[in-house]
Amino acid sequence: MEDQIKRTPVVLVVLAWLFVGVPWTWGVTQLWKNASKLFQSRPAATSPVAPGGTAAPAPPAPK
Amino acid sequence: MGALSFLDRNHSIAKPGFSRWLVPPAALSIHLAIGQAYAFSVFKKPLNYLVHVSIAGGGLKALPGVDSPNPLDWKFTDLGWIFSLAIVFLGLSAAVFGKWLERAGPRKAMFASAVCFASGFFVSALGVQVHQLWLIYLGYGVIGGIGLGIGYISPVSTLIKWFPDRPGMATGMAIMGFGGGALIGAPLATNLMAYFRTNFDLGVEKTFLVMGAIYFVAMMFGVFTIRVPQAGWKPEGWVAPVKPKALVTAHNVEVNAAFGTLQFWLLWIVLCMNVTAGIGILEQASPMIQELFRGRVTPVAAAGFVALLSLFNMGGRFIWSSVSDYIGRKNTYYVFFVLGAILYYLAPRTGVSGLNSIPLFVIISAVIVSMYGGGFATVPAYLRDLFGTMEVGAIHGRLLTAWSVAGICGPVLVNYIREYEKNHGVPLADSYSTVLYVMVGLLIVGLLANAAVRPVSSKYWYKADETNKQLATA
Repeated sequence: MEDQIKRTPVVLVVLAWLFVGVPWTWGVTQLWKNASKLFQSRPAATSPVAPGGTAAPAPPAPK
Repeated sequence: MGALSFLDRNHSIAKPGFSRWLVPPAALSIHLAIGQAYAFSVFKKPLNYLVHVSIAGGGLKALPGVDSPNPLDWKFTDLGWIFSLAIVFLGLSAAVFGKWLERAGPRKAMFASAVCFASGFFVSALGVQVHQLWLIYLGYGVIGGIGLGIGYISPVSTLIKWFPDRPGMATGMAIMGFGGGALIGAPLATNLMAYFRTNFDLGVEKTFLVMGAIYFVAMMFGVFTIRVPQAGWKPEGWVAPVKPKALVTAHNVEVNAAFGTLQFWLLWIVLCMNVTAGIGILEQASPMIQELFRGRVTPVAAAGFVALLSLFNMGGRFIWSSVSDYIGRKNTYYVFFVLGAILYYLAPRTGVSGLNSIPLFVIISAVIVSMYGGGFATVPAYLRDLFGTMEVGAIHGRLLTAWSVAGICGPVLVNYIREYEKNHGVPLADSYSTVLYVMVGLLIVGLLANAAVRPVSSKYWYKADETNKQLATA
């Protein structure tokens, strides 16, 4: 009886995961490129807080 | 309707030997598609300049960065209603069609979702063509929103039935797809608009048409792949625990009966508080990091921070829901509320007036957002533990109204408090402290609601279950 059961081929399962996995990986790659800007951004000089607690204006975004 | 009979539940029952590992990709194909809704904002600016560019030309270079340069152009605030409508109709349709879904089966529901979601794009394309905003409200907002709601709940109960040994992980995978849909939707839309763009056309209409077609095909993969297990099916070698955990029921509760239980409303509060608090930080992530670390974080870096949070929102859905299979749903939510309250309390202290540590603020925000996503992904398994698998999809649909309420309350609460503080002379950086402390209060409410959750009384159990058990015993 066990022999008569037609099992799903592994390759089909792999293909199904690739169908959703490939676009997802592409999306994650695109997002990671954006997220990495957080670490690449040029920070301003430290302690930009002026006396009295007023913060210095934000520097222009790097080009 | 003979041609569509393959959509019936009876035609989607899996034959022996079918691999249950085909079901998560089927569910993901739906959730990754409808998750595009989170990326709708990429269309807002082009939609804001359609008339201006069609007259002045110059493509994107003609976008001067002010609201509606041509009087005939749609206002930014009016365009905001498209996404809001979609989310409202997501909640409404999930609540209304949940019971139908349990009867009709996941395949028919996924098909209905694909038709609605794709039609939403096509009607919106027509709206752009004739420049009628109400058509986009109707298309993407109403019709597309119904597609979102049906699609969101369609694979949930099927996944739980296929993975009785790991229900948290299974639903977490699908719901992670919803979080990840924007990752594909945003660059896809941007690239398509760039491809179709001309000097006098921003390419929005053609992009809508192509995206509608692409998403329909992708969702049909899910329609054809999804299967429901045969009655009584269980994974090979898996034996249901002889002594189940206190909160995990072996019985079923019908959706209308569940709606009348205290447990449903406690979970409603749990979800609502968790989502409201999470939206509080997600909504304000970019301005918050710039104002807490004034002069040290550029707008570009802040955008990177928001992107990083999206990754944690998505990853948290899978990781936390998988963890809940081991430590239990109630304990998982205890972690969300206790750890969340501590982190919300600490977050404002990382700013320039405190520890002045950007990495610490980023880590705290990332963990908070992972728990926000985890809350969404863990709740279907929590419902299954309390109410059984029979109508868990329908019950989940009704619970999602908590999301709709939180989607309105969270941003309103944050904006109102900030505005109040600003008007009373509180520095911008400090105004976030109050917002985050209010979030701590919300999390404590959620903690109390979670603590009050007890097993559902036997008077709510589905009676046919009891009759069958008595017959079997006899």
